[in-house]
Amino acid sequence: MQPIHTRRWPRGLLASTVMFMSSLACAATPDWSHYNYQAVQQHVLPRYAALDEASAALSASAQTFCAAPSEAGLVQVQDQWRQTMLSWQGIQHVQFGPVQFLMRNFGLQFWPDRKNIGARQLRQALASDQPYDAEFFRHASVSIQGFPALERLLFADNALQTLQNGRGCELTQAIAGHVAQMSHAIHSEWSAQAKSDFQPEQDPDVAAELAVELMASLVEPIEAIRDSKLLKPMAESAESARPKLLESHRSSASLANIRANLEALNALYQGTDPSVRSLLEEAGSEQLAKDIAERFEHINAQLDAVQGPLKQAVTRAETHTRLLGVATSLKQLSEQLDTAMEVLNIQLGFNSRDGD
Amino acid sequence: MSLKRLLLPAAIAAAVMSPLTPVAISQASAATATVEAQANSVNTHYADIAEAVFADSLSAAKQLQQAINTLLDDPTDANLAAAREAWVAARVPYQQSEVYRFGNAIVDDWEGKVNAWPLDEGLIDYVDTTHYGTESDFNGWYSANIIANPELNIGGKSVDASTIDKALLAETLHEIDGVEANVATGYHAIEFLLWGQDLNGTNKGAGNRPASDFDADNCSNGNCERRRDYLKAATELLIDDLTEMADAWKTGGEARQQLMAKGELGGLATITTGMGSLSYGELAGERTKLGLMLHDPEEEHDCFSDNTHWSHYYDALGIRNAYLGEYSRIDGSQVTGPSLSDLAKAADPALDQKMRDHLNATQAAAQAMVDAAKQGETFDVLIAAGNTEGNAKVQAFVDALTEQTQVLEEVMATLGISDVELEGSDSLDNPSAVLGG
Repeated sequence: MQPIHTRRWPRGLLASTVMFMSSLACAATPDWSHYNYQAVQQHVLPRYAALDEASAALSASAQTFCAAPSEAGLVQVQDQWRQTMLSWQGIQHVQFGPVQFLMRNFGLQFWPDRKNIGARQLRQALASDQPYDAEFFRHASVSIQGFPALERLLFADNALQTLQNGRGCELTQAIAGHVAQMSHAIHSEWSAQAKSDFQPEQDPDVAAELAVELMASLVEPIEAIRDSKLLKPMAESAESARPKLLESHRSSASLANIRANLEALNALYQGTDPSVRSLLEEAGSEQLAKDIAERFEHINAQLDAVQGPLKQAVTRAETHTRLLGVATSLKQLSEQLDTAMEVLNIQLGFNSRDGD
Repeated sequence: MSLKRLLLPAAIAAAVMSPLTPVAISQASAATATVEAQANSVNTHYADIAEAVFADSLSAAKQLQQAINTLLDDPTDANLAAAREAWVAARVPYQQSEVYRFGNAIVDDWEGKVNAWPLDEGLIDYVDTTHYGTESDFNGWYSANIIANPELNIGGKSVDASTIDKALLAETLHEIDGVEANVATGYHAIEFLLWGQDLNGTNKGAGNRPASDFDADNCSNGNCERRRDYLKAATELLIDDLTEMADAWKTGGEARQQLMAKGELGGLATITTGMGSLSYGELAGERTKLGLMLHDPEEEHDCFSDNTHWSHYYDALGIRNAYLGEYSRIDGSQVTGPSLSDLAKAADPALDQKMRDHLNATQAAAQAMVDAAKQGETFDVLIAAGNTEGNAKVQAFVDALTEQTQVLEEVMATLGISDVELEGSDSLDNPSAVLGG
């Protein structure tokens, strides 16, 4: 179970090439060591700590419920699932480091599941007679290891009944325990690696490499949110919308997820000291820095105006149009952040969403 | 639509964990002027290879059509086997063309007609429902079975399928309801008709459709006339579509014009975009790592024929061809000329060697999958849960592709083309255009 320890930070999104083009007048060279250190301490670690804590509570509440199933107990587990999911959505944008080990990022949430594989593999797991132990999860498909599988179990119609049939509760507890274990491992490994790899003063080249990872965590999720969490389920019109393509539609958490993502990205943008925003300001791009902050605010206001669960909102003409507005704003935000990366001399390489 | 990538593989190679050398390049890019001076001949040769590879794809598809006509004339096991062989042979040049898809909008926009994947095959023909199920959350046409149903009414949409012809497949059924999994045309639709479903899960064995499925006089599984019509029409469409793309790369053709309009550095950036996007996001991620994570035989690119090892091998070879400016035609002749490799070598010989080494390492990893398949361990067997050794072989291929993409980024930085912006496809860059805005 131990991750491979390497001196070198495992590279994430292939965001790689950092070029120091000192000849360019507009190019800034921030003190990345200092920034990285603070961003990890103020942003990354607390958010993994929150996930660790929430998932431990989820695991505990699943056990309490399964010991004596009741309607109230189920509501409690469901609430705890929502809480934990929000914690995950609040750190999902960081896709490098220990969250990659053993495919934990996919294990925690394999989504979107465009072929509905999770449903089939969950049925098979429930029908099998294998013990749901560490060995089981070591070989298990990522589709049955994390939040989506738990959501299917906890938010099914008649969940109170179905969980008590066959191995429903047993598997629920096992997956909740597995999520807690992964979350705890990520948190503790990050704590260790923060010490070894993110020192307040380090080699500028190494620091710039690590900054690319953090910057990719800020920039790349925007397009993914827009494309997969909004545009795809929205389809071409309210009439043709596909609410089942929404993330977390069973628990009606789709909109809350997006809000949590944006809250987290906004926090990464300007919630730390120093922040990406303050670096931009220091580089002389005050206007851009302000525009980005306002765009985040604007998107928030746009989301406030979307009433009710997203699975209904995508199917109504009026809210469909509003959501299209959100998507447009996300595109603009993405472009502004691209410009910000140029100012900060950060070059993001190929990412896995390229192609297709 | 190009939105299918989504968050899912958002860090697929991220899961790879190989420690890689950082690519901090502490000097500005190499003499851009030198690169620019030679770029034109490199770009032209890149287009020449495209012309050759698409011409080969077309001629191999015509061989396939002949074999299919023979099968339809005389539906014997031997003729079915020959048609399957011709399909496998047709994939050899086509897969090498895939490196042209990303970066060249004209190819990307066209590609969905010929190589769309994955597909909900129940749209087309009978399926084993214990294995496939009968319905999908996302696709109303999941089990439409066009071959068995001359008239359909699904989700309020009626389709007159009484005549199965090219227009029905291409204009009505393909991506019906806006669902990408409704693949009615192209290589994989034909593959399904020639092999049928692979019901062996992650065990050995491919699809095993009987030749009598095409025998009007001695018909197995019903509707043989309509199945014959379907196979014939899908094959004709493939020829039409490949003809269009082969023409587009001829002198004066649209694809060449678009490439040249991008300018010298834009042309070079097109080449590297194609290489990097295919290598990393598509081949390493979508087509390989995903299957490994899900241990699911449906996550196999050529899931009916179990030909995935060769498809991956030739995809990777196409990436190598694009860098080296080389291509072995199906008649055995060689196409060689000015290449990215030449430019990289002039700027930094060690880097050029490193890129070559990585490309060769990728081919070796692909060869290991080919060798395994020869022993019966096809891709779907290799990705099975618990097949530790098999999983490792597939992972090695993912790792090699990921690493070569990083070296490619170094090459791009050295040649001064990292910053070159390419025109993307509308669906990615301008969603409102696609979404009826």
